[in-house]
Amino acid sequence: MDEESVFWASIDRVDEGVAVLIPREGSARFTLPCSLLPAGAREGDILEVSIRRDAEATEEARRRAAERIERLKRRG
Amino acid sequence: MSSTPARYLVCIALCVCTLACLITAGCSAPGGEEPGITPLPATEPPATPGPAITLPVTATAPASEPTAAPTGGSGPAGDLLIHFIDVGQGDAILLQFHNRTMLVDAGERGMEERVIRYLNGQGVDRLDAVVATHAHSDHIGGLAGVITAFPVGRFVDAAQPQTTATYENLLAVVEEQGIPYTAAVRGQKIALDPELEILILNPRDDPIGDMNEDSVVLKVTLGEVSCLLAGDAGAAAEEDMLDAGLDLDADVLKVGHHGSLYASSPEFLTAVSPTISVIMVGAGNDYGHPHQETLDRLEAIGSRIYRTDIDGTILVSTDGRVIEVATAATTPPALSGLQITALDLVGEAVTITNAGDTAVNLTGWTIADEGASSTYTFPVFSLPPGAEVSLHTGEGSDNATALYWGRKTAVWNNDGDTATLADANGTVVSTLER
Repeated sequence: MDEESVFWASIDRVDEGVAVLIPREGSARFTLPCSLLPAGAREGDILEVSIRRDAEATEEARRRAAERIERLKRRG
Repeated sequence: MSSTPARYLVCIALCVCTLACLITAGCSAPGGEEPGITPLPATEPPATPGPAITLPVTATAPASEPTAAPTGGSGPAGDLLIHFIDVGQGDAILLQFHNRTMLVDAGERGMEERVIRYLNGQGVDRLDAVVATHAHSDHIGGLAGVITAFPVGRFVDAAQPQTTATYENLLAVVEEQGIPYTAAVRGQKIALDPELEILILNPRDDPIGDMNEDSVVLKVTLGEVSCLLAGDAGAAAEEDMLDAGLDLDADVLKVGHHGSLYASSPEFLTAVSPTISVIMVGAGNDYGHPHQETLDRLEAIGSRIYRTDIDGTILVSTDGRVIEVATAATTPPALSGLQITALDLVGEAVTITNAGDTAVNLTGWTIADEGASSTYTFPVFSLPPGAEVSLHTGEGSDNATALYWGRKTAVWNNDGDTATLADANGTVVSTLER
């Protein structure tokens, strides 16, 4: 199926509802709103992060946008 | 919902005519063409010098910068005003020509309030045209809010199906509000005013297939002065525009893609040969924009560089002959006599008085409460000598004596608070404790 990316990241800190995540490898750093973290996640926790492409949802969203563009173009 | 008049037109020019023009001598001046359906201006060799314009390209004195006049006012060089609104990392550009208005992009999500406030400050009550250069959120994020706040004559879109909720929602608003829609294609013109030519140079008919490269690129011409707004177009789009033989020569360039090194190729910059370059970029952004390579290339062609991260909001004005540039940050402080004279904690208003002899340009200045937990940034606003202005916490329409923060909750602590007025560089000018 779709390729998957899995990595581990530490919650370095949480400021103003935004968690700063530092992957265990590499020099990257990224942030996520706390609302997207599992309940109970706190500073210092290590998170397993897995990312999958959702080809179906992508296709569906692209189709919806294209349809609306066509509808608007026809309407002028 | 809103019944906006449909007098607004986007005229489609036939690209075939470009070829016809190519072999016709003396067909190169875009300014002389009549409005309506006209072909693209013919190609000029890239090395052709631009129109002979006087360029006192210096920051103007504060008194000559437009204020928040209800009619939109006129700049020092009159007629056409192009406001490069500081929205951090992102684009938001307002064009005003007489009483006609066009907005190109509206910054990132969350920037709509800032853009709306700025437009209100300029006396804008309607947008004749709104252009979404491409569907990335640093350009269209604030658009849904803005087109909800003002009647819009026509929405011009890059029309590349992006999958984000941001874009989907924007198009839904366009559809629900019944705003006339145009998918931008090279060769079309946006007919804002017969005196003003607004040509769409990109995307081409068969898109390149990349959101940035298919950005709407506009060339705005008034008389002898042209301004090229490049969106996030990069080297591929630039090469395509060059190959298509378009007349890219312009005096002012809104540099493509926030000064990325993957835009602004030397060949493109040579063809545009802008005297003035504007880079719309946020301080300390994640991308390292603007890249040093781009700055070097712009310097190599002798272009004067303005940046929203350094200069704040940048206002270019022209009468079609002379260009003037005013910025929020380069305006002399002229601090004497300017102070906070009242702070009404319960009534939620702070009053600033100019006791000096000259007008003070407050554009980009800030008012903050104690601990700076809330900060208000002034839109383009000039306070005449002897005048005072009140900043109200709530919502309302800005005018010469009252500005509105647009907040739903109180800012000032009724048990005691301190108001701090700082200039565009962050230098504290006046404080008042109550």
